[in-house]
Amino acid sequence: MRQRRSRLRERLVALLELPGDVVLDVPRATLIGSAELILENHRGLVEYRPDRVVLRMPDGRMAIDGDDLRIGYLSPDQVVLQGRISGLRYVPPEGGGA
Amino acid sequence: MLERLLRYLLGTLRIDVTGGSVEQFLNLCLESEIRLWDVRRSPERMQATMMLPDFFGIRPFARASRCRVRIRERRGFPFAVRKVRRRPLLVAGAVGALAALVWAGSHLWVVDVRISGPGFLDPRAVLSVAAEAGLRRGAWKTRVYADRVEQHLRARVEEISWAVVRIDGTRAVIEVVEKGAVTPPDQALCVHLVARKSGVVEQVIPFQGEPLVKKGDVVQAGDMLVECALRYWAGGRPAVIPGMPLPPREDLARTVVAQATVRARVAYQQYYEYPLVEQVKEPTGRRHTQWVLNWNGRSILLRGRGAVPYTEYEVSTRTISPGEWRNWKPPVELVIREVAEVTTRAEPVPVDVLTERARTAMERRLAWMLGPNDRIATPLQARVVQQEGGYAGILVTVETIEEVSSPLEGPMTTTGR
Repeated sequence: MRQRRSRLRERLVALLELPGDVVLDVPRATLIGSAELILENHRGLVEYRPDRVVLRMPDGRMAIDGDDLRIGYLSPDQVVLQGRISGLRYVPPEGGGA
Repeated sequence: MLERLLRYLLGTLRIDVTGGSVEQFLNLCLESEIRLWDVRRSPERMQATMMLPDFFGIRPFARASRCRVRIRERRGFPFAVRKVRRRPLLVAGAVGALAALVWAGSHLWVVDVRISGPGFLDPRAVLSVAAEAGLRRGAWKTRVYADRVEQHLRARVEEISWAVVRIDGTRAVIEVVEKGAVTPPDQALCVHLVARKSGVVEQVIPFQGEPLVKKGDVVQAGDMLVECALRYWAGGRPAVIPGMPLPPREDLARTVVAQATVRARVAYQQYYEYPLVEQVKEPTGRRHTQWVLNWNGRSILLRGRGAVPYTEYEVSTRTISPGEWRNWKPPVELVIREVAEVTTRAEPVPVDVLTERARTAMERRLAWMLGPNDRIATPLQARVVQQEGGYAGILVTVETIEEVSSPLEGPMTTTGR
């Protein structure tokens, strides 16, 4: 039922040509080279280590791997992650990697 | 920039978080809308920076996540004030030095006089006259009005033909141009007087030269009015025959610079066109105010929405600037935009109002076109010549009596009458 509603919403967004990140409750990630990642619409931190940061998303988790990772700015709706980013992995709630 | 300023004003703290669950501590901070930045993690501790007011609310979060929070560094205005309070003499010295600097920079310490011309004018005389108008060494810059000093110099010193005063920092420069000797015109010079407008000659008063027109003559623009010649009868004055005019003087004595007053009746016709229906804007009473801070070329909206919520509006802008000091202008100013909603209403304009408008426009035009001795000979006549397509065409006619002669340097073209 929930999946059907989500698909319907996605179709509606495509039909009306609305920006998905605004209408749908999904995260928006902006990667600047490998030095900075700006992530909007997150739901908090799951794990924070200098080599790995895991963030909770509305529909899963996002794991960022790298070296010397530090949080440049942390607010309820935005995280700015700095350091040498080497990998970005999206983990949906079912457990499948992206 | 504004956020940095806010951080400095409110104060920031660099904290060390050890033990417990750092992630839980961060999530509890996020839930309470506490912003953190420059968060660094090492195996044994986490460091982060936060605003000073937020720090007073994190004690329950530290307890819940079993973390220990310690302040590592304090930055910002509240801490700077605390430091400075212990050194009152330092503050007094800084304030005093600043006041002395502002005081010294608000006065004129050097007044230079630069004179161009033959060199008869004494700079000391210029300085003493400028001092009468308030421009002297040691004067407050705000009390020196350059235009008033210039006017005073021109009025008091007859030898000055032109003066300008510039204030550059704490230096004032008075530049004056001395009146030079007037070179008499070359006697061999030939300057005619020609008509600059077409009209009917009303009056001719020759002072020098040979008039070629008389009262009642019709002249076109460019016609010669007074010739640059002095003529005589080589064979002596001819005998006067009653009822007969004297024969023209045909022999040239010498050329001159023609001087005369030639006044003529000049007719003007001016066509004006106005719409018969005008769009009148009326305020509805709804207003919207925006405060915009311009800082170093960037505009920051402090109050009011960015987009104006009205379709039709009029904007009035007021700029508040902290003022200038010497040649330095502060890079910040506050612009207050008052947006007033208006409605547009179509209002028909009576033809007699438009006629009066055309007449006034013509009067304004004549006011700057006519010289001091010229005058309007007939009342202005305005009549509607066409009224179609939503517009009224109005023709204004008027006659003036004015000086029409204009000098024209040139060779002798005539050999006599």
